[in-house]
Amino acid sequence: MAIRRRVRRISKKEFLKQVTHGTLSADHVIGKMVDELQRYERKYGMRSEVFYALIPGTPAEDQSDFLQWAICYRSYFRTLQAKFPLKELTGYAV
Amino acid sequence: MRSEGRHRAALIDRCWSIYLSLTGAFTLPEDFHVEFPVAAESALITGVLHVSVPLSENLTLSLREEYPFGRQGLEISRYSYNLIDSAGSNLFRADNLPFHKADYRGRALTHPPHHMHDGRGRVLSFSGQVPDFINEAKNFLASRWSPPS
Repeated sequence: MAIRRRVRRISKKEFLKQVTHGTLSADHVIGKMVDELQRYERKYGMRSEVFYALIPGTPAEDQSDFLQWAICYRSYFRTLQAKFPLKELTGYAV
Repeated sequence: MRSEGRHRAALIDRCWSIYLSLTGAFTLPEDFHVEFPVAAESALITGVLHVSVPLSENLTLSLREEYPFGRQGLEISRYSYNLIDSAGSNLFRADNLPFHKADYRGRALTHPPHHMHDGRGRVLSFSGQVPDFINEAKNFLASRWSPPS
């Protein structure tokens, strides 16, 4: 007979400790989003920029992959903007 | 900033309530309990919670919610909940894209813009509440389970 190991649910205290620990870097998260964007780009043969200009906001968006692609693209930009605020980038202006 | 702190707290609370809904409905593998806090921490950075929950060998529940930064309370601007089989096909899914007013029988959606698509792509009413979707997935899983002969 197979013995089923009981998996312990984490407590809220443990959850809060792990979530607020700040071990995850923005670079790591951005890297994962880039991987996901590239998967969609390869699958549909379209750059994310082109996809985002054409599909979101139209009824064609109501397709699982397109909806997830759009969310991922927005989130990628938001995270990049948070990491590199406009104020910091003005130093590079010619 | 106080409003940013409130937003983070509300987001953490939302993630915790999803964790409770999932663990209350299913017995999940140990990996899930390790990975969920990482997904929640990622949501604090990106404004998107994305969790993939293996329900069985052939079924995965995928939940993705987008929370825009800079709003007073926590708002779910867009979501996509999916039940996916091993081939990657959607068995049913729910979202809040504003392109449907009625279900496939022509009846007005009960909670527009929230709606669900069944395996045949037909539009159905949906409450927009993640516990309701989890419940649908649980019922689906129960209906597919057959006792060993």
